[in-house]
Amino acid sequence: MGMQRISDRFGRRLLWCCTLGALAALGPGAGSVQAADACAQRSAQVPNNPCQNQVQAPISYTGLETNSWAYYCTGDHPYFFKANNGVAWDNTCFTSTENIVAENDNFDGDFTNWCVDSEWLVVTLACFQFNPN
Amino acid sequence: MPLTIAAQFARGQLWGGASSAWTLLAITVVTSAFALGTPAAATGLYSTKRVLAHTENECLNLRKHECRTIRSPRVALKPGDAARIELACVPGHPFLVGWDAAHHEHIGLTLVSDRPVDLRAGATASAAPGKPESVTVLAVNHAGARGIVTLFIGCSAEPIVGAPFPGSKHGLPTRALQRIGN
Repeated sequence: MGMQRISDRFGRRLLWCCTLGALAALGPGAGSVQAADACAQRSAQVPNNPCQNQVQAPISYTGLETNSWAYYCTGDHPYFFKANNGVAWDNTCFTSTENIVAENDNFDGDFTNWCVDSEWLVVTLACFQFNPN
Repeated sequence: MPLTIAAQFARGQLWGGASSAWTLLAITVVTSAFALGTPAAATGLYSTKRVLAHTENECLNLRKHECRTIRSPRVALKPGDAARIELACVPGHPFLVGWDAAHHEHIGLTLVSDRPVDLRAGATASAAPGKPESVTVLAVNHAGARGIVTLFIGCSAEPIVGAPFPGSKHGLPTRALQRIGN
């Protein structure tokens, strides 16, 4: 119960944040984040396997910084389809490279903030109900 | 704005802003200038005065009472040196949420311990792990100047499902970038 409660809190909070455009509360750069449809941009369609956009926890970056992150799909759509372009973010300041070798039904990759100012990174994953890998 | 090392120490919030309690398991300084290659070739790439501030990513969105921050002492690295910094959560908050750091631009950080157990897809965690979870980060000085790093970890009383977890943290070499712009 404890685990699911924390997971649900993440899901509900982030969806509320992005849907209502409350990103301005996050601080610098957050207002520039746009709604992202990772499910629509994926390169391969997966029939009979529902896709759900899952918005991840915002990450704060200082200017000119590069970090690697592991992101996870959760709930009843717990699978990320590797190497399928199923990850979306605002590319105004950020670039990304996917590290496929490190992935285990999750996303792993580097995100670089090329802007001089601090920015928020908000990633959306295309998450599947059944394992497409 | 670049900061001198003296100014950084004076600005306590640059390196602090977290619980004063820490559970430091080990700091192993590995003088590995030979193994890594001399730093002379990298001297001109980095702005060695720039500091990447601690941004509290170790606790993500969690509220203060849900996630406790634990910090390491400041670790100084000579040119070419590397250090393994290990921090552990405490018994009341034994589950690792994430890690973050305040560090000079030329100090690169890489996770060398395993990530927390993946609790998705029905996997369960014990009510409390046998011992508090910990993290080990390798800090490497890539330039010809001394550098400082402070590690921060976030710890919770309950396990977290699906939270993003960092694998590395690096500053871009801004001195090299300035050359491109000129």
